[in-house]
Amino acid sequence: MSRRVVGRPPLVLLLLGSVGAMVFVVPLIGLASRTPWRSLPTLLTTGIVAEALRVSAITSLSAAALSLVLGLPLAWLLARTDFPGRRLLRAVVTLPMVLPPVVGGAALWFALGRRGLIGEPLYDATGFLFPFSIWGVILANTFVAMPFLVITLEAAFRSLDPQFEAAAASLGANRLTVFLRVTLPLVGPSLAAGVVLAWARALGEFGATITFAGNLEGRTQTLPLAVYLALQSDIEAAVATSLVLVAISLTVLLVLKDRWWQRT
Amino acid sequence: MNQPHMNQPHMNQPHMNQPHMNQPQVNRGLRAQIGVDRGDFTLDLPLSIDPGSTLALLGPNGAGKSTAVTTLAGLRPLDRGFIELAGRTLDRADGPGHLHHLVPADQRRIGVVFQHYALFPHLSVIDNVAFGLRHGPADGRINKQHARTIASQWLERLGVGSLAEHRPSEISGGQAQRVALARALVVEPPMLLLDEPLSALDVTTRAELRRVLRTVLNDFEGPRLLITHDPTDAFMLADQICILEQGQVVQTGAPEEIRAHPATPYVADLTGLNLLEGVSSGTTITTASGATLSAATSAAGPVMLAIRPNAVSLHPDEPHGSPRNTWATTVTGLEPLGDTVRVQLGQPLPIMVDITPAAAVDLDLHIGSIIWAAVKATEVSVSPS
Repeated sequence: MSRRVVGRPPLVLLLLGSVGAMVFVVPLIGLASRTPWRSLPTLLTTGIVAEALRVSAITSLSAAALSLVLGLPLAWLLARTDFPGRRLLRAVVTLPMVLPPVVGGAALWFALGRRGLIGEPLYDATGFLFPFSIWGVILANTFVAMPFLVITLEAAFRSLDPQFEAAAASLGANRLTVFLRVTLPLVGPSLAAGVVLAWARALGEFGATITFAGNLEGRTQTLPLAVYLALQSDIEAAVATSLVLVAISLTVLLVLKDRWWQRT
Repeated sequence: MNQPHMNQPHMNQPHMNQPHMNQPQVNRGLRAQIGVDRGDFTLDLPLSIDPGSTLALLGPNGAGKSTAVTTLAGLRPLDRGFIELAGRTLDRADGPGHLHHLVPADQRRIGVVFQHYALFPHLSVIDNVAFGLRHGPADGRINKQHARTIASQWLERLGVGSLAEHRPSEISGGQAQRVALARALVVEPPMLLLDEPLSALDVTTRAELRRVLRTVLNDFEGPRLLITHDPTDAFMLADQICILEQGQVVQTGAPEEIRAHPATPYVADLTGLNLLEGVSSGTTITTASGATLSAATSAAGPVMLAIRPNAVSLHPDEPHGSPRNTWATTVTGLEPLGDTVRVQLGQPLPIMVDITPAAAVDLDLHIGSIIWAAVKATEVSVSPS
């Protein structure tokens, strides 16, 4: 059913709506206008941009994978089991979505930093440190990205008609078989959406990463961090890096449009 | 009375003739006492279904039918009572503090056909049917090719062989119901549980599927439980009917018994359906008793007729109006049922009619009265038998 208005829309809505659209369109035009299109290929394959691209690729994909491995069972537990404090846990899990990432980074620092609650005994025992390592970036990325996967999947598990699982059980399939053969395929589209969303969020992560893992070129410097640094020294590199992030984000949004934004 | 010792063997006789009473493991039927307490709702349902017999659990929405299904299927534990299938205890709860024994859903092996079929949307029709063979109990799993062969035989048997590669979203409700039946039957369960199998279908498909169901039920050797809110389904398909209202059994018995002697006005209303066999040609039906009736829908061959008792009107003289069917008959029975009086009519069309007590007085009805009956053709529902 189409909700489109027939005829000319009211002038005032047309005017304000257009201005509203400009808020988003103009910055992109600004970015494109400063892009050194000719030297773009070179910029993207050498120097700090190339290094940041490598770090970002590794850390964002790792964070997406980690979110999947840990977030899928967590979403299932939140959706399908009942335990004391479940609602509180759910709120805590989704907290990074509204928390300023810097605060998240600081929290990670106090827990897993050199002098952190777990970080200190861990360092004393093994000499391993999260901060200033690529592991720190992955952890910070996972912290901010996993909630997207968890809430997407939890909603999918909740909205799944329990009759399908009951039918599978009545045919003699045990609980693990039911999960693998029925539940998982049925939430497949949401699973894919959750992973892509988590990955996109990890890719754009800035605050928690710089607070917790620092900004070391080639080790913890991701694309957003490189943009921030390059703005003060190498404008062309900053523009090129920004363009990469815009392109990736826009692609993700266009692909996920139907699955995610219409759902919520 | 003077020979008490002679009575002794006599009194023991019934026990000796019914060995299953002492040795429940011999019985291949279902024996259950389902007790569920949920807030202010209480379900108390004794069930006993012999192998090869169909029991219809009939009741309105909210009577506790769905709760009964979930306890039998193993989706929720009993609060009180027990469930035994073929001598195997599936669940037992003797009240708080007692040992609780619960066989999980996947080990019960009850063939369930769910209300909305619950076909797996991500699998083709044939893979839906093959599911239980491939992913069922670990000791019985067979390979994909073999499973698909058996599945396709069942699909053929239920008349949907050509749909094997379709997705559930691409087939109609009636076809989905046949696939759901095939999926439940293919694993050869010891019991069949049909949850509102016809409720989601339109009238035409429903009559057709009822015939399919009758064949399937007749061929199935274990106990069969049919959950329904539709008296027509219950009367046409079941050997025994158990009527449930607000979690309590109102009446249990054979269909004729319940129709003849409804225990409460509610049962009378629910089950008063007149069912007749006949042969249809176009919209004209000749009943087994020799009467001729007009119906609104046309059919050919043997049919079942259903006429609601409150769809028939009684008149002192021959009525002249829109009803297509009018005939003179004799009153052979009168039974007051609360707000209504159930009148049994004699030949040529022995049916029951519900009228108000006031009308019974006005017509001066008594057994043996000669009376005219009328029923509109649209009130005569026909389904092929």
